[in-house]
Amino acid sequence: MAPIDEYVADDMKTKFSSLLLDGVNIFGGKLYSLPNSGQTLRLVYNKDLFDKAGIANPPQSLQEMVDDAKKITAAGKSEGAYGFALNFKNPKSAFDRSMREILSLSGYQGLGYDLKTAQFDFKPYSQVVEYFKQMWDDGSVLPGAETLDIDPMRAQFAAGKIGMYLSFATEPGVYKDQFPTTINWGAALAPTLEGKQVGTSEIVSAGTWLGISDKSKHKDAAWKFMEYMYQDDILTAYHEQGFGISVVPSIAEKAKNPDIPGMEGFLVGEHDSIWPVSPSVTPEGANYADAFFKYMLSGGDVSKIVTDLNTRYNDALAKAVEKGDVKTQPNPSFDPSKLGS
Amino acid sequence: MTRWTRLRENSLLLLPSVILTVALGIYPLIWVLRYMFYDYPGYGAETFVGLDNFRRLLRDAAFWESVRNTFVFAGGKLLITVPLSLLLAVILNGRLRGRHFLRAVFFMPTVISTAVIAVVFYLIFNSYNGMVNQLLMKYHLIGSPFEWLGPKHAMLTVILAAAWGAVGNYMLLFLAGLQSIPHDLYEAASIDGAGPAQRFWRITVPMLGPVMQIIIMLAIIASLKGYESIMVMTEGGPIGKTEVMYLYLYKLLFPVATSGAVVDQQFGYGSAVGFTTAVIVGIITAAYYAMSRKMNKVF
Repeated sequence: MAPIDEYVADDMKTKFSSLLLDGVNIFGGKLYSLPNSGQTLRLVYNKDLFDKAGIANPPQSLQEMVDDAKKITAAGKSEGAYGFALNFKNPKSAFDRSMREILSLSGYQGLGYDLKTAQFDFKPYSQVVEYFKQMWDDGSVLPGAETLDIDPMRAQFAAGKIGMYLSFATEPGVYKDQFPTTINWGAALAPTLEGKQVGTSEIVSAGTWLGISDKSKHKDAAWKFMEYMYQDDILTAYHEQGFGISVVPSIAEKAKNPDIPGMEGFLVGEHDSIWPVSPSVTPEGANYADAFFKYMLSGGDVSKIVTDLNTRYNDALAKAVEKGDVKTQPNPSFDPSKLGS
Repeated sequence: MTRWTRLRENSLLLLPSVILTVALGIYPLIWVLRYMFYDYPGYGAETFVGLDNFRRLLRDAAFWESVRNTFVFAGGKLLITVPLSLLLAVILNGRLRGRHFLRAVFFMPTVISTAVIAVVFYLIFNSYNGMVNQLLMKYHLIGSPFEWLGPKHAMLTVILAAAWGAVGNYMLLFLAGLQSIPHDLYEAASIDGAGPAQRFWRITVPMLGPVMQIIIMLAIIASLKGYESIMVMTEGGPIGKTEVMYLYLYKLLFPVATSGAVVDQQFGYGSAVGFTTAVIVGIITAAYYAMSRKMNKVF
């Protein structure tokens, strides 16, 4: 792709300034794209089941989530409704759409990476897993969740059989077109480890939208098109018609809610932000999701599991850095509470 | 027509098959044999690593667990399929009314896509709204949903699904074999006072020797290689309980990417695993063939 630094005017740059990040749209000091939309992550919950169990508000802490799941199961089990579920047929897909917002809002990077030390540390991750394990042991998770793929899970939620789950901002579209539902559902910020919001809920798949090919012979014309598309009214229409949630602050503030029921719960707010990029590595042996899901189902020594994961992931990270695939830089002054400002 | 013309004509006729075999069979084989000594994430740089992939294979507990699971799956499937398909073939070889219809019915699973069969079995056996659990709970035979695809019983369920899909195929092969047994043998035996069981064990089984040897060999290979139905039903889960060798290999080569995170395709290590898997299947097949040689000596 071709850098666009020379094309972007200063006033355009200020519109996007908080979203221009190294490793997201800036590479090697040069800007390659501009943000438009992103995916927020939320706790998705069935208001009817919450009412039936006598719970007024969605949980703010993980302990509350465990307790709520138990109450919803007790109240709804006779009709096949359970407190919690996730698409555990693919543990990585399940955890990457749930752990991420819980951890980031609790002040930790959502994929097990420690930005301060530039190393993997799965201890905070394991602390959240303990609560998931508690729900599993309590019987609050939909039976057979270990065989649930994402769409069958959504079908069960639409049928009113699941009290809560966590996912991306893709869900409102699902319940509008794919599995139209009559239940009252809503989205709320994910619960956190201590019940307090120490960091921000990560916005993913954000930071890039359009770009110019390096091989293009009409870069100026391409930029004219890009400039046109990045205008306020286009970005606003994109958001209002439900094509994607705008992450650009000036657009998100003024745009009307998208025409999809439930999307208002997913809109970018003061507790959402993009996080710094973290490296993605493939370790030898089981990935973190498979290892932690195995712990959820069959128990074990969680500190040994964490140590083993850290070792294998950091080994893979060292190899990737050596090969030049990945660059890491410790940031001891990283403060999750300062994100999104 | 000269010998030369005939040779040229034959070569031309064979050419399409040869091209396809070389392009889709031999070339990938050579590709794998090369890449098993490399570390190659599917794109970009490939690094020569010598025997590192094989050293990793030796310490890969998940792989050896998948080998164990493959033997359990194959063993279970064979134990159900071979006797059952032989029994069905014998019954449907006789003068049963409607036997042609029944043969077609039993053979039907062979023509249905494996993935479709697996989806239907999932709909039947899943814990939260599967048909089996709904029926069992309706008649109060169980109090809470039975975990057919849970960690304890998933292997049993996938074996049942696989056996259901395979019985018709082997039944047909046995039928073909049965029909080549001369009738006068049975007539002579009945005249001498042999009952049905004796006729079965003393005539049918020995005469089927060569056919049965081939059928069992095909069944062994197919059951060792089978992974598609498992992939659709449980994806090797839960927690690796139904992960068979070829599914483990498939996941290495074609991992599922989830939102946001790039996943490496491990072609180098995958090639090493693929080679080792093929060798294991080859060894078992060869061992079986050697052990079953006397099945060929019928007369």
